[in-house]
Amino acid sequence: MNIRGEVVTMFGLAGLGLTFWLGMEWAPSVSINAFKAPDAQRIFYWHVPSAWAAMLAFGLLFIGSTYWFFKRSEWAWRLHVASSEAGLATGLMCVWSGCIWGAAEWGVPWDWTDIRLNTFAMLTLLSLYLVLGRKSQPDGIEARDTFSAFGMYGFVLVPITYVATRLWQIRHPGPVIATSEGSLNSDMSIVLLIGAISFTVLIIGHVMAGMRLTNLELRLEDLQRQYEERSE
Amino acid sequence: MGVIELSKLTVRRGRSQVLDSWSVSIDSGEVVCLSGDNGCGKSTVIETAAGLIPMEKGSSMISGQLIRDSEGRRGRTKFGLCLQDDCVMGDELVQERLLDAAGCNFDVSALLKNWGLEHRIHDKIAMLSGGQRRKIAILSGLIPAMISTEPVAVLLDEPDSGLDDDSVDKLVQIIRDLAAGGHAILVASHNSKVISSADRIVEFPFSERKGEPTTGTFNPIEKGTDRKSFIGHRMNLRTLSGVANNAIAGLLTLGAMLALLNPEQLENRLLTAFILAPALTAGLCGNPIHRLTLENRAHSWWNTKSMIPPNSIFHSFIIYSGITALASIITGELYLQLIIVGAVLGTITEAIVGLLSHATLRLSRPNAVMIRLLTPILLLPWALVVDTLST
Amino acid sequence: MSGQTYLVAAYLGMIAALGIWTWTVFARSRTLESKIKSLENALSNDESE
Repeated sequence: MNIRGEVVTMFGLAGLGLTFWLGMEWAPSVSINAFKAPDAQRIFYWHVPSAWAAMLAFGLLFIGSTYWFFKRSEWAWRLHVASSEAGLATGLMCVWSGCIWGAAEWGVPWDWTDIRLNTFAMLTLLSLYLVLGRKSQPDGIEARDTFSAFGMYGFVLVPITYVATRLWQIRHPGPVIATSEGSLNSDMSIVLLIGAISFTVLIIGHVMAGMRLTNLELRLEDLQRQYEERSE
Repeated sequence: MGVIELSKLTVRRGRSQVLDSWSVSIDSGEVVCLSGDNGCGKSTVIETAAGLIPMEKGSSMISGQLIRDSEGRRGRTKFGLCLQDDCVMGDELVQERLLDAAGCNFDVSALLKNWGLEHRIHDKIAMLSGGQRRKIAILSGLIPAMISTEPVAVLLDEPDSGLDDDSVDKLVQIIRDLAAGGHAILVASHNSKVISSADRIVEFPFSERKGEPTTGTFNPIEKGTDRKSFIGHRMNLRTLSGVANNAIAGLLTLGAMLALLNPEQLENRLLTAFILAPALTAGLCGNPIHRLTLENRAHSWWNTKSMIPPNSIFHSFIIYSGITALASIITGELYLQLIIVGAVLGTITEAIVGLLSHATLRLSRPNAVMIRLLTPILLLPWALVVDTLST
Repeated sequence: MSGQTYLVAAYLGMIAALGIWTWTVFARSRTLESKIKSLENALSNDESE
């Protein structure tokens, strides 16, 4: 069965829509004692899942980059391309929503000394670099090797970002899910879970669609070459 | 084993496989010429032999030293190289380029006299015509063998392009003289005179025939004392690239901050940040020598000499100390600790940005890729240092 | 600014990013498919001639 990435993406978008609605209408409000801007807290329902999706995308980027670099797998290169775009989009969503929420809750949109904020932004910038860089170069082994190398080395930031709030709580709060220290209201957890699943489905759909796109681009180039050879 | 030993080279470039398990062994005193259509892979062989291009399979060995293999292992040894690009920086002097190629002092004017260039000995390479520049590039490739009595490998890619007939004759004579001296030469060329100088001619990639070259006489050029290059620092002093590229950014940052802040009223974190910010901005501009090495692919030639790209790191340290000291003086006091920290921070920042730029040199359009997008990572350690020092 | 304003700004930005990303992938896919189809047609016409 050949399921198109676009179809999976639609399911993901539907899930996001549901998350949004539940987050606005159903999830409980938070106390003014716990949050400076209780209304803005509802950003949480897309902010956290988008961060999770971005991490997933960066993980796929690492896999694609590594497999291309060491095994010269065409499939892996398509995964690199698709996941760098996915990481860029979800990374930007997380950084954007995080800055807005930070402005509301902390009074500042950014903190240059917070490890998590900066390493996450760095990963997003790395994706932007990979996406723009690839568009600036003709496709070939040199470009693929160079960008895969950056994709591999950049991955070192992922575990740092993940553990950052466990080791150094500077500005960004620590984990509230799946830990003994944090606690989340069960209704909030349900909405968050739906959001996480929806973003996961979205990422998978987009990566599938993106890989198909790269395949189409390569097919187009081959056809163009055949056409030119035929015309000579 | 030959002086030049290329084993089972499999190399891809762009979207094509250019070499497929291709091998050649060149002994001492032998000249092998690669000839063939444009795009058949001759330049790829030369550049792979020099260790400039990674290979899917195989290895390149020169004078018994592994230069590069498919596992990524690399080494360096003395050999002569002349690529299709001249690989010279415009601000290099003719004399210093030839001395750097030799790695020692020798009578440069006598050598240049044979090529009609003795009057250009102290000129910048940018002032030469295309043909004259090509001659310097060729001489840079031949000199390691010309001064050595031990067999040295020489790799030449289309050395005849841009040369007049007399110069081609001179080149051919030198090639035969070097062969007589026991050196091993691999040359790629379409020119019939250059082809005729070869002991073996490879009609790329597979067919090979024997040549009937003339015999030469080798008279090695007398070597003087050894010489270290320090090309980066020399170029920096000549072009003031460190000032124009880096220091100016730091000074502008200082100027902008002065427009917004009263430095004498700054305290703690803000004071520390004010003093350290110019060095950070200057460092973020990267290696000031890097853009000079992009000229004529000079970085490729220097890559075969040393793993570390040409740089002016010691000068940079001084520049960053100076900028930080200036920022400190403006606040009304000389904070020695911060000056040292600023110098170190700026230097490390410059080195990291330089390495990032260097990593993209394999791309066909390295200038088009926006490496600066990755530089914000350097703000984090800077901010942490500011935080730590201000407490 | 009120909390609600921040909320709207955050979600608008995220929806815009999501929309642009999804649209570019889908639009590129359509464009490539049509280019491939016309080239395949041109090549098969050449063959039949």
